[in-house]
Amino acid sequence: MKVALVFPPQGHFTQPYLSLPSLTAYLRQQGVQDVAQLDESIAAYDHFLTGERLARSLERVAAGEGLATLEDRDALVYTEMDRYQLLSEIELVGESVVESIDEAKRVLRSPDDFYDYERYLWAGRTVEQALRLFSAEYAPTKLTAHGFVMRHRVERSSDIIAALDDERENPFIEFFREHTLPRLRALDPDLIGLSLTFPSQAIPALTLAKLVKSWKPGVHITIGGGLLAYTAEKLAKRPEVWELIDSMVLLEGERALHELCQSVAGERPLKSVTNLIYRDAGGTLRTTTQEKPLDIETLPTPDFDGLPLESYFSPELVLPLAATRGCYWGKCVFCTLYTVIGPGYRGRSNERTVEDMRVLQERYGVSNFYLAIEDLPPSMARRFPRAILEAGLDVNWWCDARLEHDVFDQEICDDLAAAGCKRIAFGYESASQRVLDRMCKGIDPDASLELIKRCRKAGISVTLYTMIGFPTETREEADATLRTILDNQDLIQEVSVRVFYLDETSEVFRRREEFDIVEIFPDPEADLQVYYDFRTSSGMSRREAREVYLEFTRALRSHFPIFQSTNMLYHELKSHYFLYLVRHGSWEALREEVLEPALAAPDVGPDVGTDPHPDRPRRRARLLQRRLRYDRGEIDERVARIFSSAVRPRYQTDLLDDEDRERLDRELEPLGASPSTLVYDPSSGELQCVSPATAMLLERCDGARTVEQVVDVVPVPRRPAARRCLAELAAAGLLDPQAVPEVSA
Amino acid sequence: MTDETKPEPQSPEKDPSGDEPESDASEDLAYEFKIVPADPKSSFDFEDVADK
Repeated sequence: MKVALVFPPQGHFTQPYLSLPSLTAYLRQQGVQDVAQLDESIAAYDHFLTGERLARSLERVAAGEGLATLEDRDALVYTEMDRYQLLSEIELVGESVVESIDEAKRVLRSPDDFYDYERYLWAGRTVEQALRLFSAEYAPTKLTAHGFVMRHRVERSSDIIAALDDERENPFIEFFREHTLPRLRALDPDLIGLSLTFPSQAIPALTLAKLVKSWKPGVHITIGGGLLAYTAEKLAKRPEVWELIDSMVLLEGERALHELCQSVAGERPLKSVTNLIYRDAGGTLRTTTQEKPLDIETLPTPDFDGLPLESYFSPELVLPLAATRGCYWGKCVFCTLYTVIGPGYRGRSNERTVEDMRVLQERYGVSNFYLAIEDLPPSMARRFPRAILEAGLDVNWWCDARLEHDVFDQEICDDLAAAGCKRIAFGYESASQRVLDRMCKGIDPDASLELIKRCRKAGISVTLYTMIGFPTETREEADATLRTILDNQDLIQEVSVRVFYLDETSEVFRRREEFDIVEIFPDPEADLQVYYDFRTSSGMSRREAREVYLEFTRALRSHFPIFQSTNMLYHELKSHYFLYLVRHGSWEALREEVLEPALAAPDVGPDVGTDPHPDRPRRRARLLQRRLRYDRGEIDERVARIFSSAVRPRYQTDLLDDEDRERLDRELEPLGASPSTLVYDPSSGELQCVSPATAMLLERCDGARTVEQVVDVVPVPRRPAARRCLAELAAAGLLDPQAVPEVSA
Repeated sequence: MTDETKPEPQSPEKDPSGDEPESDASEDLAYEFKIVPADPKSSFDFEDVADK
């Protein structure tokens, strides 16, 4: 009996997910030894982000409608601006990115270079640019560090089915054919399990299933995972799906998958496998008995053997570990978790969890863990730290928790910190007691701030999750949340903010009239729709909520060091910020040693020589420039404004519909030509857009002219602005830092 | 791609039409000194990174 478990793209590339290792460990414990784990998400990123593969992308993009065609236009409509943004970047940085992507990945995986912040930022930017180059080959498809979206929407099964054969826009058809299928052929499994956690995996998973079926129709393909909790029943109604897969596992997968192995081996009928949806020989859909999940205490330690642990884009592994399943609180009306994952909360003993850590540390040499739990339960908060210390484990970890003021006293916070807890992410949601009560959060915002102070005193980094636009929330209440966060910014390191979306499995949806929801707007074509747009009779409108969200994010970007300017740690959420915290020991040290200096000083690249004339500004060596007919800065602003004004659940898609794009093309005023210059510094990876006057000054900074000689072509009244511009060029890292002049306006 | 280590001169001193700026306002526009990051990442959406 041979089993292949696959994590299809797209998940994050910094660390492995827990689903396959948990299932693998259980199957092996039950005697199914021949289990292969394939993380095709990291494999795809690793393959796409190579110089060789990106050279092909560059070639293919160049063969299409190029920037020159758009430059010939007298004005650009919205879709042309969108394309112009991408093509102008690729034309300037494409070759450089192709040359440097392998080095960028090496930096992200290197314990020496990863913690050199300038190198880290360069590598992060290069990866982002490389993903845009790769995506351009399949436009409008977008593969980013955090998502994969296509024109085909995952809320519509007909779209999903159409995407499976779309060689032009689905990059995974080729990848699976050339890379995954040969591996599966070599393994020749009897059963293939596809693990789906995120909507971004839906199309890739079924793309792979289709290819596998055309290679080996007899292999049993099952899909399971968190995403199925929301979509399995709807998906099962589509007959086309059953040409791609043979069964769907509902809820926790361990027992069902083991029983499925027995069934595929001919040891039991399929109908006796629990928690399963399948189609019988007559074509009738069958849903089998739902069994209680296994006792979490008896489950084995996750088994990461066989995963490409060296491939993740991190210098050190951060392994996920689940000490609990479900949420012990289980009352928040916006949350869908406890309504879809089955029979409530279960916890593993602290001793078993500590033993898991010890085993994983011994087996994989890791010291860093992410406790993949919904929230840290009070009993665990009280006893887990002592259990770690008594076992003599030297580990670092982080997790989510509820703002339980009465549980997390100073002693517990100190104990957590002493036991290696570096970061806790709390569900704060709102500063309004009324809103929190409507949410059934069971917390007090003032007491929450006291708890946060205790965490800070203990040296634990604090992340707050916040929500804008919960039904009935007023503008004033949302403003108060932002104000409270800004007033307490010295206590809070990160803020995660999102707009509320109405999920059909939530209590709010079920009791929507109690939340003044007077209308919902289903998409008749979206047979897999989970989130709904809606209208309320009180509180903010959806559009207002989105506006407040944008104000909120702007304020965070200007007040929080971690979100400012070039600081990219947040983008690489989870592993990278946490690893930097571990390296520097505390938030304060990280801020002082890394974040603040990065904001204060211009970037210093490796190719800077000593300049004999420090009073004569000199443009950085090896800058690449491209003069454009259109103002790229203006295009960025317009595209971002249009994109961010749309209210829609990002979990499902973040591409505008074709109809919306056509409407925008018709209704928005086209952008007229207005020249600008793109400037790219390969040593920092930064791309800037400058006005013609700035480009002229930059060109004159040749190391021979003094500041006055540089600006003397400018009319006298504008010279103070020109001198200020030189200072800005220096701050932007475009002048040789050895030759940055002291300029006074 | 163009490696303009020696960039093409693009002085705004002369208007492309050949006319000299006639007013202070147009001169101000011609000598507008702007530098902005041209990185779509700078407009990243917090929601995109919340769940993974």
